[in-house]
Amino acid sequence: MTYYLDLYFTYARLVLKAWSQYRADFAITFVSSILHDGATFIFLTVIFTNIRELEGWSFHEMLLIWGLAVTSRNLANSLLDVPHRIYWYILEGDMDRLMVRPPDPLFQMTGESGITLPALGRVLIGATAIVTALTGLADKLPWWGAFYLPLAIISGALIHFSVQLLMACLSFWFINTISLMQTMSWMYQFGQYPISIFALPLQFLFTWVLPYAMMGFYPTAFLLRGDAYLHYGLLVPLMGPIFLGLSLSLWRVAIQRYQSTGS
Amino acid sequence: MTGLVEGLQRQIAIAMAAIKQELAYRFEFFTAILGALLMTALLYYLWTAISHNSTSIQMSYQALITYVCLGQAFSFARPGQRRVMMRIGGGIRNGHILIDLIRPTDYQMLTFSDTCGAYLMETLFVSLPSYLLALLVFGISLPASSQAAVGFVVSLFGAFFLIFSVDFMIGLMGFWTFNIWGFGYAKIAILDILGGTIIPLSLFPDWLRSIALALPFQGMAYTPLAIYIGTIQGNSIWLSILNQFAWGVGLVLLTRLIWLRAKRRIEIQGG
Repeated sequence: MTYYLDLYFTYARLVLKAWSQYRADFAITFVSSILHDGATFIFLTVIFTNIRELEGWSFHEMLLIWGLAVTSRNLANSLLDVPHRIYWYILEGDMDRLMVRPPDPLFQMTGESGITLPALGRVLIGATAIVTALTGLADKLPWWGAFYLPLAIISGALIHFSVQLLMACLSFWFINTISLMQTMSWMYQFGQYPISIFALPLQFLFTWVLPYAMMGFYPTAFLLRGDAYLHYGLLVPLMGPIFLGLSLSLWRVAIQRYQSTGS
Repeated sequence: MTGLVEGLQRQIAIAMAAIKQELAYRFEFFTAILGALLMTALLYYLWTAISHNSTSIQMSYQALITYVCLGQAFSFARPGQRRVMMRIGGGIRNGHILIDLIRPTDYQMLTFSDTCGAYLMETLFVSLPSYLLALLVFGISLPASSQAAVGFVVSLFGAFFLIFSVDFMIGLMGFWTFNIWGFGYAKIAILDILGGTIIPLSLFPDWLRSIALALPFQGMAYTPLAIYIGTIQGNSIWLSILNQFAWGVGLVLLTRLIWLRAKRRIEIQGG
């Protein structure tokens, strides 16, 4: 365990060094990321100048849903930015290099991708949204929220990572699934709004198959509306580990099938 | 005259090459369509809910739904649309831009023809299916009038000119910074909000609407969409298209200037 931790920090130091090589680029990427996620914030603000509530959810409640979704998604993107790189490791023959070393290839890729700083910037935006929302909702919050929300965020990050990894593993059998992963990762937006506004098949899809609603909507609903969302709310902290288990099992099967491209 | 015809033939050949390239990636097309359909559905349900909860929105429900679904179908802010940035930014990174530069045709023109081909494919295989879905399943309206239909198509071309210039400019930034993907995100954000892709500009607070209307971004989404639903009608249609093309010419000249400066800075990263 210490061996892995030690190794991870070495990786992190190297990746940070690489970033500091391109300082101007870094600034641009950082500001653009903020602008990109900020667009949703402006969207919400403009919408709420025209309405008071969205299907019974107030501005601060919507802000909390959005903040949770953004935070957990980008937590995964900043620390576990691995799945969409797998294809390139295979294509360029780098997987061979990883396979002959003792640590698990998935761990090595995690280390080599390091901490993606722009995504970390987006985590800050999400955290700001959460804090603002919680301040606005202060008198409605139950005490256990202090324990529940961090669990929900971690579970959400695992959900995002695992869904991506599941799709990446498919590329061992089929074709390059990068475009599918990118497209699907955009569907996280379905998790940013009250699930009840969507048609039933979409509700099912984003609760059970691509459980993005578990990253933003259900935790918020459970926190503020308790009983009505009891089952979903209790499932939120478990959904991340369940999906992680599923995706890691598929990964083990997939890596057994690996054949070098020989390049 | 023969020179002109030859030049045109050459550009068409470039566009055809782009079309063939795009066709080779069938799976990418499939996911792009899937993504566009899901996003259309997302905005449809979201705006249905918003409309139900509002007493102050002046636009009718039907007009709102038509606007946002159409905006999604013909969106220039789709995350997959990075061809220009890939060609220029990627070209600088891996050195392929040199090959493009020694081709016997102007680089900006080459990129333009290439993008035309890709855009044609995107319109046929992503935008039109999304539009048909919205029309048949979500019940959005047909163009407000025959004049609106013509105006919509013409201003879609105008929007394409504008967006090409913006993309080209972002690509050229690759000559000054080695990583341009960040600009791509900024572009999506600006198009979604200031372009009016996900919210009709008429719902903005007054001050924000004045800013948006003074900038070229509204021409990339709001103008064609507002013409289609009839918010912009009569002579205003042609005036707003004129406005689009005026910005288009301005941006082409601007990108031309930047390109001439950039050309002198070519410094390829190792290849």
